[in-house]
Amino acid sequence: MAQEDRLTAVFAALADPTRRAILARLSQGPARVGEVREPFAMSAPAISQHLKVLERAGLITREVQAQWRTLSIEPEPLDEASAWIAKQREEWDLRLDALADHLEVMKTRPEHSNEAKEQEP
Amino acid sequence: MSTETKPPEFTIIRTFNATRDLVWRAWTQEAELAQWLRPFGVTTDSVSFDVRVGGVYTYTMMNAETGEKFPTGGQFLEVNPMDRLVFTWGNPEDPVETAPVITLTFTDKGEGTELTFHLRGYDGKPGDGFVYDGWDEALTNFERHLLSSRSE
Repeated sequence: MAQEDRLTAVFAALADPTRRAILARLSQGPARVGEVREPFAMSAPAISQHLKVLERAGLITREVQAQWRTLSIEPEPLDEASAWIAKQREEWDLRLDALADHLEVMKTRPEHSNEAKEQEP
Repeated sequence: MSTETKPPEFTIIRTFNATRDLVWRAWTQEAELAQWLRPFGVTTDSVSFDVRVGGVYTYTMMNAETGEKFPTGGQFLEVNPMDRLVFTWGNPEDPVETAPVITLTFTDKGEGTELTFHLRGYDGKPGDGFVYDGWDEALTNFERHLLSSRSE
């Protein structure tokens, strides 16, 4: 599923502290690659790798302005990730309701100890 | 675009009127799981759980109306019977490192059991501490940024 793949790319991109720091920097406004690189003791190619991952996940865009390459944050994948989380929360809330009901059923069994296992096929 | 952007994780705390042993079994035994894991309109038609560290589980949910199938699965990362269960949760074909992670904590609460259910959108790396710190900060700044650019 394309949307699932995109979410996986977003979560994978967010799983790295350097990349989150880059996003935090860009969340304050667009910046040049050099400005983004500044706080990190990292080589240009290493930073460039991180930027590629963020770009592939759709979390940032690059734009050439005059001689500068400007980076900007893209909110949409973050929104999508948040929407996914909200949906999971709702679903798990309902599942835990079902769990509460099922526990009541388990309690009514004559032997709700380990014997229950052996009755299973 | 929503202004209420939330970090990709959440916690649900529930108290169940059942012993820890029972709640643990409801989470770890296939026959029990098949009874309650289904969400509404979706039936669990296959459940396989190998509850040990590194063990995998799968189950398939099916939407009765559309016939669409949702294979779900993952790997157990931590198994402390009746205490803590940590596992990845997602598409069984996805790599474990990028899969969402669910952490269950079981504690006694009077006669019952308090379950802390925590889900986060991706696995953290060891030594990363609270992996969401950076994310939280990014989102907070981002919201501020959005608000200020809107009011311009």
